Amino acid sequence: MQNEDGILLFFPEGLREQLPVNYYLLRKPDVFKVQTLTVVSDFHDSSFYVVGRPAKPISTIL
Amino acid sequence: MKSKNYFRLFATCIPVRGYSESAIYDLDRAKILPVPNLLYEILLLTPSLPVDEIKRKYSNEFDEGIDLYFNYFIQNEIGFLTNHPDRFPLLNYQWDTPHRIINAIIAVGDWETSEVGSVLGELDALGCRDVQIRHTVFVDPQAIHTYLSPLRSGRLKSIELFLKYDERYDLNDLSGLIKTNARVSRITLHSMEKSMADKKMQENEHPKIRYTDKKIDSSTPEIISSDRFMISMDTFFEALQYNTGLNRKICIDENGDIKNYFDQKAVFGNIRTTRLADVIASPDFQKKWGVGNDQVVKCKDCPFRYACVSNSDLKLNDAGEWEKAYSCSYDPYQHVWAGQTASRRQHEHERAKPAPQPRAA
Repeated sequence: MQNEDGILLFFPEGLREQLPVNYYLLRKPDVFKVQTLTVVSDFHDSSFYVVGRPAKPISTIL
Repeated sequence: MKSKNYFRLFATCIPVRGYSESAIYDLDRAKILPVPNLLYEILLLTPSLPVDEIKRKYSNEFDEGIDLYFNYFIQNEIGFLTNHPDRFPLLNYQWDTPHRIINAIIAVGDWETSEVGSVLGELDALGCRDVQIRHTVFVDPQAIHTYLSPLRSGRLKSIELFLKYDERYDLNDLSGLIKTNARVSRITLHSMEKSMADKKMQENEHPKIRYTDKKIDSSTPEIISSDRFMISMDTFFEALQYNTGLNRKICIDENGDIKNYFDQKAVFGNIRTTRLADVIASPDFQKKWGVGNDQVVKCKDCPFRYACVSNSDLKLNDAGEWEKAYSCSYDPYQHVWAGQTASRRQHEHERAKPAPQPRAA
């Protein structure tokens, strides 16, 4: 969605994690004309299924 | 073009109030930015009031500080100016997940390989996302291959292995385990002599293998400190409603006893007699899932409460309030970690640029 302030992007949550695009870049509104980013949770298992990376620490023992 | 007169934080930069100091959670960049409570109050006004009106609301006493902070936030991409604040809605703060179990810890003693495989199979069927396996006795790498193999086509996303150090472990075998099983996120060899662990860590070139002198089993205590915080969208929104340590977690100790976490006395069955699916359906087992930090004494006043993933047990005090059995060393009332003086209270996270003193009235 585009207006005079920039572009409002909507990302499904599963896709957000897998995109090669770094949010850091999207947070530069003067360069990318993106003012904010809204994440839409879809609550479904993502078809972009990346393995081998825990989502959060399971325990903090070390 | 007319100058922009509203300030907005980016939707993924969320202010959180603490007792003596507040914070802005930058969920994109996984950072927490401590800010004064007064600034927190000001930020709450920004969606509905232009900057000039906010300044007037404070009798223009803090104009310089507000300008300094807002400019700092704009330069550091925490916020922006706009004429249309209503076009930038907040995120949806609701949280849910398709995983009936989010993560699990298995402390494996002298178990049969088939028992480990059976538990992992049950966890996979429950949609468990991440598993940590703590082997407390030597286990042959071939046995690990055996119980991991069926998971290659499963739903488990990551498996962290702790192996008790033994000279029979060969680096090539361990590398092979990781290479063959993409879900293995890390292997830690524990209970080593300190000098050997240090030497191995210095020489170590494998990014997913590490060494420690620490003994790892079901009794290993957690360390709660700011560098253990988890700053992410998923954890933040989960923490608004749930206990991010205990919610949808299942732990199995060396005896096969099933618990919420190892430090809890309550046992909800044993893997040899009870199905995990039956345990997690029990209201008693789920009782503490929903006790988020907003309901816990001390934690509810902490600005870091939505990033803390402590698994500490919870108990009700005499006043009927939830308390953590293991309290961390952070004092939210003084904004200081134990061991730090008040003058050194700034923690590891970046601190927002301080505002100048307000003008004398």
